[in-house]
Amino acid sequence: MGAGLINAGLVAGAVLAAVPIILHLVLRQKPKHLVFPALRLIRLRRRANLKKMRLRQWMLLALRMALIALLALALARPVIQGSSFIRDQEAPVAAVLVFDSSYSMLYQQENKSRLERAQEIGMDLLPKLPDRSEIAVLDSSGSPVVLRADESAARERIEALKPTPTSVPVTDLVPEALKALADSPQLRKELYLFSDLAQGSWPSGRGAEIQQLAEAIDNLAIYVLNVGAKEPHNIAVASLVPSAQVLSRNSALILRVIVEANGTTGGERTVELYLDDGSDHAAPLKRGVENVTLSPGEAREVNFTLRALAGPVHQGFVRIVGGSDPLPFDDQRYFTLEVRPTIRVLLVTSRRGDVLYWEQALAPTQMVRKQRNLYECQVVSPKEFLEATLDRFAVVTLVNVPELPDQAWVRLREYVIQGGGLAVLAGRRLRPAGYNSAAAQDVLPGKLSGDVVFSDPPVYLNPSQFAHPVLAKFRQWEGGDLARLPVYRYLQIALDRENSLVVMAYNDQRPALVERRVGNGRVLLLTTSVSYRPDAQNWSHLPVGGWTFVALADQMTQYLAGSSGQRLNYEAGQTVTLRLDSGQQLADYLLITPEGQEPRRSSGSRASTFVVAGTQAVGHYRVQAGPQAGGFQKGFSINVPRDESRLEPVGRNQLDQLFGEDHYAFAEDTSGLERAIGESRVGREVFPILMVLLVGILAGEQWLANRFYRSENA
Amino acid sequence: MPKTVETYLKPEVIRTVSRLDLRAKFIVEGFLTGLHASPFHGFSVEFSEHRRYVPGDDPKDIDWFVYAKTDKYYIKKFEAETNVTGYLVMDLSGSMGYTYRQELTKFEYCICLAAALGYLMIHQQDSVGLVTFDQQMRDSLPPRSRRAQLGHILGLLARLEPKGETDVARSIHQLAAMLRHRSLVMLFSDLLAEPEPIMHALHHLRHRGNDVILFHVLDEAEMQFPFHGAVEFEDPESAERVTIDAAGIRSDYLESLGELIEYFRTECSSAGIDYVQIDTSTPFDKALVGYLGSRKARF
Repeated sequence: MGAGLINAGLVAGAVLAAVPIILHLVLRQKPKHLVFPALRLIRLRRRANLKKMRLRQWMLLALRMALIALLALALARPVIQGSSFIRDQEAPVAAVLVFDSSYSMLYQQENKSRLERAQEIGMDLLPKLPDRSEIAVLDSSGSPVVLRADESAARERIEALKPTPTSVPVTDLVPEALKALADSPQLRKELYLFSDLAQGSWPSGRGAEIQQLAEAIDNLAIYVLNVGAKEPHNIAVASLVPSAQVLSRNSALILRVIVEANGTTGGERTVELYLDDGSDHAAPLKRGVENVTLSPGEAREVNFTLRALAGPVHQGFVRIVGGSDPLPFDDQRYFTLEVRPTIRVLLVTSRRGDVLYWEQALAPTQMVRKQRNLYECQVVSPKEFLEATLDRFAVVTLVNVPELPDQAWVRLREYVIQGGGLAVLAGRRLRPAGYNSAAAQDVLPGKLSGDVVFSDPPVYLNPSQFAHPVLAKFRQWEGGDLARLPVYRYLQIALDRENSLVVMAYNDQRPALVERRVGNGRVLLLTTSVSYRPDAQNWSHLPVGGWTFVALADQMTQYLAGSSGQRLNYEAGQTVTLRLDSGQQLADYLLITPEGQEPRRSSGSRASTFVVAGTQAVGHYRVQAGPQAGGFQKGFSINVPRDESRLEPVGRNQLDQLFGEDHYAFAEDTSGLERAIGESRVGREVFPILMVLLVGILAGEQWLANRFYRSENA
Repeated sequence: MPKTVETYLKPEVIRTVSRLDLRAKFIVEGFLTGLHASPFHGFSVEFSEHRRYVPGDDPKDIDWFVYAKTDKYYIKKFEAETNVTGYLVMDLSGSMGYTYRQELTKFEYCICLAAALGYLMIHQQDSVGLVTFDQQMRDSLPPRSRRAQLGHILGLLARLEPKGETDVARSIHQLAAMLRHRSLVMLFSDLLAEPEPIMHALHHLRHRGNDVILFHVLDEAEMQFPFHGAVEFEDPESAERVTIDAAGIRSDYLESLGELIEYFRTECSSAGIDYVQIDTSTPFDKALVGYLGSRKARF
């Protein structure tokens, strides 16, 4: 972009600026000849007068020439910052119209959503594009950019725009649009962005790439049209977090709901909880109501407690009612819970006392009495273990077992491969040689050393990372007391690097808790003991660590049972992963979406994990499989990403960082957009300025001429 | 047709005056009637003798010293009562023959002035002579008081044509050296030369005791500069030519002229020289009467 002339031919009129000179030369009169005796008096002042006269004459000549030249230039209508040097202002353009169709564009103002307003302006724009222009329409669904000289197709595309819960940010769409424009053969390229500029759709970080792409394109004009509401305000269910997504039948659930008031207005709302009864096709019933009063910008937490959930899958929602809201989509959020029977755990020990603390941690006597235990523990001896039916148990835990015969390890391996969980807890009775056989090593994460490490002073568990599902919950407790419970003795383990990983180490860097995956199941090995005798030298004080020990036992067992880390609630666009239980396989299944039932599908494999990518529809989903696949029913919920409720617009400085200052035009209404387009295509006319200058020079010439001549006639 | 006294004493040649001698007489007689005494009285006085007072004499001429001694009234007689020697000094240079649009050239105008003044002096039985100059003194007529002297002066002037260059200062120096007695020098010139040498020469004249009246006569065009457009001016004496934009230089020219006139006025005043600046558009009778009146008032 630079400068140009609309009527370039008229610039030739500037040569008429030579007319005053020609007139002066042609019409210059031969001077009159007069006798004048007082020539001496003239001579005295002639030199200075000559200079003065010449200056005056030059000034007047210059003014007159400037007048003519300026008039010619003004008539040529110069423009700046336009592409008007492209002669034909009606030459076709390549135009990409990008519509932000994220959910924030559903904001209602003046009886229309922001998306509807953007559509209106886009429809008005289409006929104003030059004929045969190539047009592409993009939206937040991230469809490919295809430029076509087909206005009607573009119109249909704009009319069909719908909000997209899984929206691609506008800043990700811009590079794709620019690449398409760069390939277009049209001389002029135009990029239109229709958005409410909500921050969720305009993340920073791609400014350098966008500017680089834009600079490589000649005659590119970028227009950003802000269709957002002035001073948006919204009350939303900002988040909904259940205390657990998979829980046991006897456990209670706490639903933590955050209600947020954004913008300049607050208000009173009623928060309602709806939940079905866990059976298929059951309608949700109201299970809780809370009232909240919010000030502008305030967030409030509301908690609901649910008990006696029968399962297997409960789906519900939380919504706010009681006031008008210009953005209704975030007034409701969905959730899914999975309720399982109590997890059966087989505890194998050679001495009942060794398993006491561990058993009580999983199934406290009082909880069992009240039938509120999450786990059902059965304690057997190693000899009884050889006869036990392992399929009935979700987890097998070897507690301080001296050794097992090879066939027991073979059975355990098969059990784990099928999806079972195995925990091996060390102790003083454990004989490392019995765990280092080939059969045992097919299951275990490494070879145990015969040396017991006696640590004085004691070591402590060092949960440095909480990424592992076993430790995930400890993050919020900041590790609890794990790092404060002394460990005096532990076994050393030589890890099988290929198949194992260290879940947690001691503060002397040696492995404390190690995992190995075998087939569909998992194995955890704890190198210290969970047994405790008040009058003896104990390996550690973990068993007397209170709730920390209980949480460790709970999380290890849940993880081995496949319950921990199971996520049932997602945001639109995320990949859903559902783990199947032991014995369940995904063959043929039925997927029921919020939009209805989809045809029965077949995965063609015997996978134990159900994966759905790119979920769009918001609401509840159910996956059902027949008896031949294990007869399971799973569910999950999809919500609109929380960012879609963030209506605060990005500022101009952020747009400057994205596109480069002065490299885009900004408008907030149709007239502003038209003006910006005009200035870009034609350029900003300098004609008014030139006319003012012209009048000024004319006045100046008149004034000077009068002044010179008046002084001469005085 | 030879020019006569009548020709030069007609102030408005074409329209108003029929007999120039009557006009000149009117000026002189009217002046004398009104003023009762010669305007040239009372300068360069020298006591010559006493005579008895008779009624009609001016009481201010009574010599009271003699009265104190004798109780009788006697009048002092001065030479001025008896004779003034005047010289009409005419610039004959080429520039004096110039007029742009007046009826009289500067030279002709000066002759009118000279004729009137000559007539006045002869009428008072004073002697008047003529000196002409350009680059130096040229012609002269010795002072006489006879009535025919004016005719001789005008007759000589009528035969002369102003031409050539001028050296006013040199000519005046020459005149100053020539005059043996104190005289009244009436200089008629346009003074279009370096002013300092002219003033130096006039100082010389005054230093030798002469009374000087300087008539600085300029043409109306030289005073007003009524020219426009591109003009090629030619100096009639040096033939030098200069092409200028008349309108553009007008204000500067008038400023220079004003400075020149002011210079002469100031210097003449300090030298005791009567300076009379006249432009030829002014009727000469008015100019002369105006001057004579102011001179009488001083005496």
